[in-house]
Amino acid sequence: MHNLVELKLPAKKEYIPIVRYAAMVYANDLGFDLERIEDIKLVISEAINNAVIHSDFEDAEVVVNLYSHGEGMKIEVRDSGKGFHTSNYEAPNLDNEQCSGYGIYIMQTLSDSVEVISGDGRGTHLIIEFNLV
Amino acid sequence: MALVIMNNGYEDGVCHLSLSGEVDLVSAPMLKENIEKIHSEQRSDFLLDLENVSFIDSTGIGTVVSLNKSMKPDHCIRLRNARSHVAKVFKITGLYDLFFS
Repeated sequence: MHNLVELKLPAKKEYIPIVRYAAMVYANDLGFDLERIEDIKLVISEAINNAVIHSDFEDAEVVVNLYSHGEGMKIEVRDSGKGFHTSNYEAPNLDNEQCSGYGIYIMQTLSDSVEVISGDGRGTHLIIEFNLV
Repeated sequence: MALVIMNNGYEDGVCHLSLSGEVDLVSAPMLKENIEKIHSEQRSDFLLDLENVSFIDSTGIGTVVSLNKSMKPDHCIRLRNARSHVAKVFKITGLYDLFFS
């Protein structure tokens, strides 16, 4: 992991903006343009939202790693929350407005790749990639 | 950046609100609470000006969808003046035409 930035935070929503701003600074330093930086801010926020929402127990933590990778950056987000069976994931139906369920879809749409490693009771580990080109 | 909601009053029976800041998991409940309170005091449509909204996530758009559904069939929420990256979130989720038409 080159130029690693590691953040360990309480799994509380009040800490989400800190991660968003850290990702913005990191992406800017790597040379991403403003439009792509906005994508990165949104994607990392969705990742942390999921971690916070599914880690509703005392002293829960979220670990975020930002690092340069080839011609771009990777974001890893780990929580020790409830986790879920990835095979149960269903993309939102864009023909019918929904009040929730857009998070993973947004991550997949705006990033270059998203890997989700999770399981019931095993927490969730997201690996998200953004390419500079 | 915290979310600030400014009530600009009614015009042609529509409540005009200007939002400033970030609409996310932290601030979305406050947006919901404010609009529900205004709507309970005077039933009307809402027009939200997003010119000064610098960020919105899926909880923000989910809150707008939820409020809009709760006002149907008599009233609705419409949005305007979103910055390109804020409008983009509505476009990729298929919600742009519903709220910006």
